[in-house]
Amino acid sequence: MKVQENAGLIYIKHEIATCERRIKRIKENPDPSKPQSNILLYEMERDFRIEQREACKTGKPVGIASMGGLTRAMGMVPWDAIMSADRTHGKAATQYFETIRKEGIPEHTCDRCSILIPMVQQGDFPKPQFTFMSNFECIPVLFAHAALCHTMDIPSFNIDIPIKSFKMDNDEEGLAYVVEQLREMVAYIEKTVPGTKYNEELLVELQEYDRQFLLEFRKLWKLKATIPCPLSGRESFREIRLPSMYPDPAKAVDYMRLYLKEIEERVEKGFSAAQPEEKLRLLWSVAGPFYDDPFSWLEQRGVSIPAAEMTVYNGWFSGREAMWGDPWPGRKLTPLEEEARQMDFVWGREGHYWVDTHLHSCRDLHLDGIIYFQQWGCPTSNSLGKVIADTAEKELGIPTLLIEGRMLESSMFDKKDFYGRLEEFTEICAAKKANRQTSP
Amino acid sequence: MINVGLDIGSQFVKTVVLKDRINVATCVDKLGSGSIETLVFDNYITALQKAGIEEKNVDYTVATGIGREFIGFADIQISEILCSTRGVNWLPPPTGFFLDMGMEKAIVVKNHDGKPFQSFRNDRCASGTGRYLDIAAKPLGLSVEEMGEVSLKSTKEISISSNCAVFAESEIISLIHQKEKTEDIVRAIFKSMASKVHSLILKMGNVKNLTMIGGFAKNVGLVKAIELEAGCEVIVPSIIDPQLVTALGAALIGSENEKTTASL
Amino acid sequence: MEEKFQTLIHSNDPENRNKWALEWKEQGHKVIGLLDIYVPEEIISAAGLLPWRITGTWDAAVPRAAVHRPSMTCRYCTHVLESFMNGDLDFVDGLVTTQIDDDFKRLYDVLNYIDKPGFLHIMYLPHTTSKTTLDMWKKSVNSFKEAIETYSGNKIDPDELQRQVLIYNKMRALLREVYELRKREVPALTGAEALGLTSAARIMPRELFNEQLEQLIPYLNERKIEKSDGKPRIFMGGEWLDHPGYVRLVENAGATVVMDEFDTGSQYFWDIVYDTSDDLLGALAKRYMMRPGLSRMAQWEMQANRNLAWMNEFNADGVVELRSLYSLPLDYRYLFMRKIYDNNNIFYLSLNREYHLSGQGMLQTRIEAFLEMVERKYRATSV
Repeated sequence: MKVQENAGLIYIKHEIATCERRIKRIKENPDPSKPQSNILLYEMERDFRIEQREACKTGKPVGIASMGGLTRAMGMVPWDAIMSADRTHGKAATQYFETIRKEGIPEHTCDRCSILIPMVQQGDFPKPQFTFMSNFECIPVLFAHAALCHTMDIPSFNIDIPIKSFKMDNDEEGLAYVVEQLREMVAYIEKTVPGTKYNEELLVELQEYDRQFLLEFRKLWKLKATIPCPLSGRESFREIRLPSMYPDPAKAVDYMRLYLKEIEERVEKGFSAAQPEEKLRLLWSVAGPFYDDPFSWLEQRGVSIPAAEMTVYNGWFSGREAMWGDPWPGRKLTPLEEEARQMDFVWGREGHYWVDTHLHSCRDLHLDGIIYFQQWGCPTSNSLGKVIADTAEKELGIPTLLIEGRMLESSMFDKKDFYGRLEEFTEICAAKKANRQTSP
Repeated sequence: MINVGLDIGSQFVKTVVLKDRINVATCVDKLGSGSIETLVFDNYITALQKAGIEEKNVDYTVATGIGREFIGFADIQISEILCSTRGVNWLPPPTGFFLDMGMEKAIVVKNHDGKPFQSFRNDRCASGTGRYLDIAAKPLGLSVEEMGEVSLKSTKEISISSNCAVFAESEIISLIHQKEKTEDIVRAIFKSMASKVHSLILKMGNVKNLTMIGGFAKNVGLVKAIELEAGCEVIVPSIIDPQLVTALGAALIGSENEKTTASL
Repeated sequence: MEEKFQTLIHSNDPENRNKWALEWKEQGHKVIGLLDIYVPEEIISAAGLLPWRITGTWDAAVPRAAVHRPSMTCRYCTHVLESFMNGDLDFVDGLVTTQIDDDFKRLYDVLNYIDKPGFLHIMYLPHTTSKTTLDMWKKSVNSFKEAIETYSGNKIDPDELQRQVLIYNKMRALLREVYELRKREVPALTGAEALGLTSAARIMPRELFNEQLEQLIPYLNERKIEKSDGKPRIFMGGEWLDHPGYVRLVENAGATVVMDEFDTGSQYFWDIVYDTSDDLLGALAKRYMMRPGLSRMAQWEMQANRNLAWMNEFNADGVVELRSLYSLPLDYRYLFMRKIYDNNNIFYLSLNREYHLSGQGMLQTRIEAFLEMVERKYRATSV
């Protein structure tokens, strides 16, 4: 594999064009069934990609140092390769997988981590001036970045997160440990990447935008609990990008407020995502086949998906995981400490946190079952599926579907088999729900 | 009252005709080339003829199985799991669990008064399904049907180390070259399959006995291997061909005319 | 002496492997199962417990583990779970592991859920080495010591801990001495025999192992394996490899395995505990963490440099690496290592394998082809 010398802009150009097409379509012929606030979302995405493109052209550093806030506070434009890899399904993903197999890149690991490597090495996505590596999410993300950095000579710094959640346990020692590493990383970036300097004022400002954004999401969590659920499964499943990742974070907060208003209106009208009426409400967990649309399939059969369980999000939305600015016992956290706290996801820590978050979501949102998608090569989630299934059955009396699959590589997707399993599961959920409702 | 259940699988179509909820005729045909609907219709008519019933006198027809969407002449299409659970629930003796093994799937279902309450299926891998037997039979020069009785003659326990059906084929060929007896190899194949099924049963929890349905329930060697591996009693229906239980369930649902319990 | 040697190196065969653990228990002591090479074993021994490395079932079928672990997850962890669930490890009183990766973490979580074994402890181990991470690891070691003390009911006497450090350092030195004998043109032992030896070390009371090995060393000094001229000298890589069948497979394909990078081999004993005078726990922590280590330590340059140095010292002609299926850190490190080996003109073959012995035919064919390539180069560069 050749080392990428030039900034790779293919993906970025493609995304700009896609966003502009969508913006044009919404302006000319808006789809009333979709949120009107989407136009703001596409504008934000487009502007972010334009910012990345310009940074690559002008030599402004592109990189990632933990979250968007700290990245921008260091004077870098955020490099979001792993989230971008998530969006390459269909033909593009299949082509990457051909390269992956040919080049011996690990395939039996999370699809997005597999695709990250050829995407950058082939030059479809820019090579960053710096990236951090971390186990804060999972091992595949850590080592995919490690492999990229080691083979492409990208400056990197590892931020290691302990097993026990210092965020959930308010543990000073764990927090101090991560903060110390962040300080070391800041010093390393300033030394290694020209044009970077830590700007704490900017970090504070961006953290406040992230907080405002998540406060809106907390309101959205309550709306998701409405029966019938007003959100489509696709909306529940969308991985959000925090304001600090965007060049105009204020716009991101405005978008969220507008989106929330639209959902409130749907609730007032009694709108149901599931048709013709909502019969079941399910939690969709981990990942899904991004090249297909099981959510619409379910909704056409009266099944709504009020929430997706992915990494930290439901923890933030439900208020169970602290967000920026939330209290810490006895004192106010410094900006770097706030950043460190957010690098502690329940997803990557001891298993009981991950099990608990499922139960909380099911209780909060009155859910009838869990679809647990066991993405190939996701060691963080795969081996907890049965524990979650048993616990949900025991404590809530609801069933769980454990279904293996791939989120980006579609060439092995057996549609009939996949939807056959979904169908079976909905029958089981319906039978159990009827039993719950008629039992004394 | 005349009710018909049609189960359209990947290889076979099965029909059960009930008259006042008594089984009066059945028909099983292998699917071949040609229109599925035509083949199924022919099978349906053959079953009715066996029962001495004219088509116009049929009150309700339920289609199920992976090919059900092609059967326009049925009154309703209902999911397989609902039909198989209903069918199993009708069979004596009552069991709380059943295993349905076909060419493409192996599924263990918890039966709660004729409703499915939990299920676990094989993963995308073929090694716990009928497909594995299909692959394994070829190098041995046996039909899948012959393998059952052959395995009962085994006196030596050998094992197949590969978890993958494709690699297992190559391992089987090596065993043949090493002059291992056919019956011992077949028993090893069944043991490997039974281990995958065992895992599904374990996922269900404490299962002391279960009913086995589907064509592979007629394979005595496989049934014995599952009993040994899983340490539970496997009951194969005697009053009806196990391959017909899902079609039976479809007909029973039709006789209750339970439109509200149809697929979501 | 040969018989004594063979008995020792077959200690970890399924029919023998529980022997010392069961004898230990008969004396009223407890056995603590281990999975990796990062848990400071001296602490376990100082508390009067036997640290005992767990070999998962070598059977292909893992139906109980499959309830919790899909097939595309670390096979070692799956086979270990199977052994716990099928009762094979009922005699093991406790398990201590570091969070090698997410698979090991989830194995710990599932064992916690099914409440096996009685004592369970997971240690936090960072992925890189620095003063900051070492300080955190020291805290992890200290917490581990406290947990073992609570479990065993014995406060660990610093003198006893010091004594254990000496015992373990002696074991390491003895094994180093044996490994030196592999540098010879005709090594004293095969790769499979070496693996058998290190496996034995990890399941016996260490003093007993030291005693037995010390007695064998003079014999091994004179011993020579059968080697025909022209057989390539191979450095083997891989992790979670405890079945000697895999090493024999490489040797039967026509190689002499002169050195390894196995956690179950060289990495278990390679470095000693230094400078225990002021801070014994700190010295222990340093020994276990501050070394190149396994692929889960994201400092692959150190590992590459170590491997290159070993290849030079042991005069190896090529590298055969057998990566355990779905063990992600090594799968990713492969991309970096092949760049390094390529830049250094070193022949490198890296293949996936099951945890239990399987697929020998396919592996052998590919290894044979690789060795032919290595041989051709060897012949071409020989005078």
